[in-house]
Amino acid sequence: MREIRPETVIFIRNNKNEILLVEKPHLHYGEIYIPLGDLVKDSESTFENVRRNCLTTGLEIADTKLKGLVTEVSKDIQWHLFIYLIEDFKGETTKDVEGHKLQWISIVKLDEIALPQADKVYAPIILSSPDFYEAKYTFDDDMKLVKTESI
Amino acid sequence: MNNNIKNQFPIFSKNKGLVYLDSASTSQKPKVVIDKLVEFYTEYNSNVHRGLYPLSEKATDEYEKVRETIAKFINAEPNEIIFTSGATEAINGVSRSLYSSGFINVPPKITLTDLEHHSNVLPWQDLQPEMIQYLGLDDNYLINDTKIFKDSDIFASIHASNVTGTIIPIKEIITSNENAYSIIDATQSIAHMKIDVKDLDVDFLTFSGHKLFAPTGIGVLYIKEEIMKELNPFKLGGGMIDEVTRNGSTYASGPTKFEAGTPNIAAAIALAEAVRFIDSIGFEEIKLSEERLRLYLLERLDEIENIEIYHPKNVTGKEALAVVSFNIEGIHSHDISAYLGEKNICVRAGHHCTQILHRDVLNVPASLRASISVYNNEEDIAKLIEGLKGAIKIYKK
Ligand SMILES: Cc1ncc(COP(=O)(O)O)c(C=O)c1O
Repeated sequence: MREIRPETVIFIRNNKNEILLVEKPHLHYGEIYIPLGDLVKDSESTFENVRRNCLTTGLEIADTKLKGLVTEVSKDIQWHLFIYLIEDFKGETTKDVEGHKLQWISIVKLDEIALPQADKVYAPIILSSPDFYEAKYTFDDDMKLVKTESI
Repeated sequence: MNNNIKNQFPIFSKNKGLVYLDSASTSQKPKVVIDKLVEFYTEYNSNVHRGLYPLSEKATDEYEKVRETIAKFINAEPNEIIFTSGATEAINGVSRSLYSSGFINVPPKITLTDLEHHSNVLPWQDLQPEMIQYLGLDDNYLINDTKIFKDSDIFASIHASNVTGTIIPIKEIITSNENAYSIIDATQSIAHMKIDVKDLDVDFLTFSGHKLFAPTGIGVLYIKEEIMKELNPFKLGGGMIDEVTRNGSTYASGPTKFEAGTPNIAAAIALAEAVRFIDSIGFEEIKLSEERLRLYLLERLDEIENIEIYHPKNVTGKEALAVVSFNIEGIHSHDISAYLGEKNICVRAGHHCTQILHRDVLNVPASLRASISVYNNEEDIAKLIEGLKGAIKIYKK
C-alpha cells in the first residue's frame, strides 16, 4: 500500500504580482523554489495548516481561497494536495522559515526559475484561472512526472 | 538490558512508538528522578540554609547531601561543588570571576577548540581577549593538536562534542600547559563516561544536569579548592554573605559564596537521584551498550546514498561518544527532521549552537544529529534508517 500524504500548497501573491516562495535544496534539481505548505498533521484541518504555515512567514493573513485539489500518485506515495491562494494579508515577511530563504518572485519569471515539476504545471493554472482546478498527476518509478489528467 | 532500562522512563509508555534519538539535547528522565521532585514538593518543600524548623532542616540536609553525591561521582571534595542553573551559567560565571579576581592578564589570551558550543565561546569573546586560538579538527573529526599557545591564560574546551561525538584529549592538553587555567565543559560526556577531576587535573569543570537524566535548571560547577578560596563570586545576593553593613559586605566562604539566591533545591535533590540511577547501571555497562549502538548506527547510515557523516571513522568509544551528525545531499536537514517527527522519531536539525564548526569546518549551515543514550536499542536505529529512506522518497518529487 502507498503511504497517503495530505499536504497543503500555499501561494501568497502580493499586489506587485509576485509570489512568496521558499528556496530549498533538491535531490535532483539543485536549488529549487517551492511554495509554502506541508503535511496536514494529526487532528489539524487544512485551514489550520494554512494558518500555521503562514504564521512562520510573519504575514498576517486575512483571507484564503482553496483553489485546487491535485492527487499525485507515485510508486510508494500518494499525495493529496490542497492548493490555496492568499491575496489578502498585512505585514512584512521574515527572512527565512526554518533555515530556508523566503523570496518574493515575479509571476512572469516563474518559467525561468527552478520549480518542482508538478508545481510548474499547476502554479500557472492556480495563479491565472478563476476556476477550481482538480487533477491527477502520475509519476514513474524514478519520480518523473509522466501524466497529468484534469477534470 | 535496554528494554529493562527503557521501562524505567515513563515517557516511553506515555508515547507508544517514540524513538528518542536526541539525548544530546536533553535526556529523558527515569521515574526515580521524577518521583524525587514530587517527594520534595509534597513532603518537605521549604527553603534551604534559612529556617530553623524541621522541614527546612530536612531540605538543607538533603540539598547538602547532593554535594557529597556529586563530589563522589566526579572524584572531587564536597566543598569544591557549586550548584548553578546549568553549564551556560557556570561558564559565564567562571569567565567573569577569573577576570574580576585578577587571575588573568587583561586582555587575556584564550585557547578554545573548533568544536565549541556557543556557551563556551561567547563568554570568552565577551572578555575582549587579545587573541583566541581555536584548536582545529583533523580530517577524521579528531583534535590531535595539544599544543596551545605557551602564554595562553585560559584553555576552555568541551570534553566531548555535541555534534561529532569527538572526545577531546583534554588531559594531555591540560598537563602539557600548566600555566593556563583549564575550564572543561563536560555537559555531553557526563552521562556516558566516568569523569575524574583529580585525574584530569582540571581547574574548573561544569555540566548541566538535564543531560544526565536530571531535571532542567540545575547544573554543577567544580572549582579546585585552592582556586575557589581566592576567586570572586559571580553572583551577589542573599545566602552568600558573611556580614552586610551599610558601607560594604564580606562574603561567606566555600561553595556558599557562589550560590546567591534561592537555589533550585528540588532539581538538585533529583540530580543526586539521577547520579544514583547511573551508578545502579554502571559506566561499564552504559559504555558497552552505547558503543554497540554507535557502531550499528554508523553501519546502517552507510546504506544511505549521498550521505555525509560528521563523525570519526575507525575509532573506539574512547575517542567518540554515540553522537553522530550527518547531511543527505539535496535535502535540507529541517525537512528530514520534520518528516522523521511525523513518524515519532526525534532527531535534532540545525547548527546545534556550533556555528563556527558548521560554517568554517563542515562548510554547511546545518546538520541532522542522532544521539544515543542508555534507553535506546537497535530497533530505534532501524526505525531511523527506515525514516531516512522514507524522507528521501518524499523529497525526490
Ligand atoms: C557541549 C555543551 N555545552 C553546553 C551546553 C549548554 O547547556 P545548557 O543550555 O544546559 O546550559 C550544551 C547544550 O546543548 C552542550 O551540548
